[in-house]
Amino acid sequence: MILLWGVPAERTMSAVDHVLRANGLPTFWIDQRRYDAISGELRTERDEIAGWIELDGRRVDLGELTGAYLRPYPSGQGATELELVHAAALDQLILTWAEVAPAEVAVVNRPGAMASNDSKPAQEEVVRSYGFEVPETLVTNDPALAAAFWDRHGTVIYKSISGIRSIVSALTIEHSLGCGGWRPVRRSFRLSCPASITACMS
Amino acid sequence: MVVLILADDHDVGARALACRLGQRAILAPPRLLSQPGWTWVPDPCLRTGSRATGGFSVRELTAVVTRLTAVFPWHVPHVAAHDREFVAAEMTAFLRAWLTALPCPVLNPPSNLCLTGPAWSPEQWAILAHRLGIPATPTIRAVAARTTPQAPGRRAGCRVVVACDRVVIAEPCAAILGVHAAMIARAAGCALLAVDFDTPEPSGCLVNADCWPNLADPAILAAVADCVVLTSRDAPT
Repeated sequence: MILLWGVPAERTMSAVDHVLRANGLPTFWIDQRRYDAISGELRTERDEIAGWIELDGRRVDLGELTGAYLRPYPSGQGATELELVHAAALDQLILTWAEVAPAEVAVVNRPGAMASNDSKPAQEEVVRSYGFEVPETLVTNDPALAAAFWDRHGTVIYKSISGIRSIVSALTIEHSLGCGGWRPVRRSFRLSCPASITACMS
Repeated sequence: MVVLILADDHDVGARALACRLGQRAILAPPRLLSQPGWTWVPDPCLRTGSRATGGFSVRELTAVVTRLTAVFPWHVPHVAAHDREFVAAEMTAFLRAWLTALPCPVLNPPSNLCLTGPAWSPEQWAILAHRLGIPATPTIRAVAARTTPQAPGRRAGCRVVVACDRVVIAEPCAAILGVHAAMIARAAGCALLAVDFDTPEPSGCLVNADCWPNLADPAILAAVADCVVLTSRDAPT
């Protein structure tokens, strides 16, 4: 049984669901649009995790799950307080299970591993440690250092370093950039937080 | 000795630790990251930071104490409202990388999910305890449709703080619980850890743990300050 968590109408989730069905693999949906009708329980039994999830009278034992594909949207927008609390608790239940599910359960991806996406420089170091080449990168809010790096490399890429607002662009004098007002103006910089610039690899 | 303390402006315990360390402490709230001078490069020794009186190199630091789970939008009121969430996420991402592999001890090192240690759920602490042969209360997390959810964990009867292998028991707890707490802290890679047990008896079972010992407690503050001084002594110069 494969757990699918997200919104069924979303294109990627729909494609995954389609392929799983085409291969005759049973699925169980945690449909975020149906959160109000979902119940669940998670408990530790010595050093193992157990529990169940139920939707529309269909209860699945978490021990039956052999895999999971997680692609949730932020929960609870426009909801009542009870709905918000319920959604947050359900999110936490699924995330906790996904983190501690037995190693033989293929979870794509476990939250702790997925969270490496939320810091690109930290992720870069992991990539580098496995022998991949990565371009020279500087993350700074020091205008002089940023300008010197740009001068040294000629062409550089500016990008955000967290997992939100994926801003990636060749740095030019003309256009203004994010990070709460970092704007290169004639190669002088104003930054309200450290931002990343990366040399272009030839 | 120079100790960087990354903490929220409202963290009374962090302020107490900074006061105790005096001139040796740099107390850095998240908004300080908007002050020019912060740099991450792959070589940890070449990273820099900024304090009220100017910049510093990580080579000056002998220890770092982190008290933040992440940077949140309310930490950066000086940023335009529509950019706060983004800037907070960027600062978190920056600190996550900046704190990794520093040439001095970091208490506690960041994980992918938290700037201060592993930030595990009660279930994860219970599983770790069982694997170490330490009793833990069964956890149950229940979410019923259209009702208020039930959180896991039980009320703690005794809290033990571990600071660099030194055990501080502020309440009357059996000594064996201190041994258990130290084992859990070591296994989790946390120099600083607060561990809750359900009763103070020797049979006490783990309920939960977290990386935020209450520094407002004088005994805990003294132990954490000693821990920082001790680790600073061990740091390469």
